[in-house]
Amino acid sequence: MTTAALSPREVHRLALLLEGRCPSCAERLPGGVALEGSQCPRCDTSLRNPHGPLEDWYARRTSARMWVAVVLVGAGAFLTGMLPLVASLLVLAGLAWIRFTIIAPGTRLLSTGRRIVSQWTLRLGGGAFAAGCFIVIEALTLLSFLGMPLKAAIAAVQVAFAAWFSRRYLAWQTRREAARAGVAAWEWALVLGAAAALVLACAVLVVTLVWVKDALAAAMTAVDGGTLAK
Amino acid sequence: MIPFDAASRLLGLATASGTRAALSLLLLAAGARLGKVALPPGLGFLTHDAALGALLALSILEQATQRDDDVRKLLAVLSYGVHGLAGTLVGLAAQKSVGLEHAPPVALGAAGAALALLTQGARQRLHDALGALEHDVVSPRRWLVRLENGGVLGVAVAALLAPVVALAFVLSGAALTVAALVAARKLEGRARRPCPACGARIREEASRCPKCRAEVDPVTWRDLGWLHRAGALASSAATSLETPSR
Repeated sequence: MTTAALSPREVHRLALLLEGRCPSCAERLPGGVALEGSQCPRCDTSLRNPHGPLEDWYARRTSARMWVAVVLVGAGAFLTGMLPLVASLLVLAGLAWIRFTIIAPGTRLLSTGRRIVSQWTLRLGGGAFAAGCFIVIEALTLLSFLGMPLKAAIAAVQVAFAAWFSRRYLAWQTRREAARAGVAAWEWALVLGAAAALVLACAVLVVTLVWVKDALAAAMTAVDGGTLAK
Repeated sequence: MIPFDAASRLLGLATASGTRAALSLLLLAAGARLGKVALPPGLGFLTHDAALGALLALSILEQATQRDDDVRKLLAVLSYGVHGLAGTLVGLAAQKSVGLEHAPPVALGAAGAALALLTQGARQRLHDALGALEHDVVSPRRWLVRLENGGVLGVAVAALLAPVVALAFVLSGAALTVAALVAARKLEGRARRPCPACGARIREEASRCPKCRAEVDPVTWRDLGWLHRAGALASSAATSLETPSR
């Protein structure tokens, strides 16, 4: 089934379903109900999509959106390749675009538990990915003119990878939601483990910086004491 | 026997495409010496032992100079001279083959020489540009200087701050989500209208009232955005939709 074969009313109903709304009363549906294909709790409309599985329509829609961010970020990074930080900010803007155009429509279709797991998995993964991206991109600023096309290519690849991964991950989650599979224990463990690792890494960083500062202060005091003793 | 204009056309082609000019000239002169190429009377001197020896020496020298940038720059004048000579020969040969019988040979030779010198200049610039590129990217020392100039410090600071960047990303993402939820709640109350049947506040996109179940016409219509507009994309995805995804 293609969208060209649908009437405007059918497109309207499908678009509402993809937004996580009832195709008749357009009210927000509780998480997971749209993918299960049961009934709207407000108006009793059947939520079964006559045009094929809703999760497939989600995958198609997001793949059409992801290339916009890739092209825009690549072009922007090429034009501003000589300036530090700008390409990183462009990648950040690309990730924000992915958040609103790929992740948000996908998580809207999920039940509460799965939505929390999915959002935090992508958020924590995205945080680590963004930090790595920034280091790579800023290191390329050292390459002056050659860095410009390299930065553009790498920034575009980074955004494309983030979009591709988010899309695949949420497509997997929407398929599992439609199959009424529960959230696995390892998914929760992964989220909690990643969050704990991130907090731990930040704590280690702070402790290290404090220790270095104290050690420097002690060394300075020793030098001053030695000078005064002489 | 190969006519001179054909041989010099080959010489011009070889020189322009980057083959060593002295080598091309040597081959031309050797061909004339062996009776395989007919040189014009004015260029007969190229078949003498001394000229052949000089061209052989020039070929070896030209080959050697290309391996060392400093020597190449030092002997650039000589290289330009050889290319100019080759260009002159090609220009003279063009008199018959291109139909310029009435043009003075001096002008043709000068034009050939100028063209050859311009080509040689462009090739030298390309050599310099590629040399600079190699110097800029491949040179380990250059990278060491870059790292000493702050690269190590920058990468170390960035690596050290990576957890903070990741945490900031996560926290700002969470804050953004909360803000988006609050905004969505506020907007949810807006795009509404009274149901024509019972007066309940229903969505503008609704085709059925959730309270009295009356069928109504939507005021606002939704579409599938790019997915709907991009017919080619939709038709290509149709096959994937028709096959079971699980």
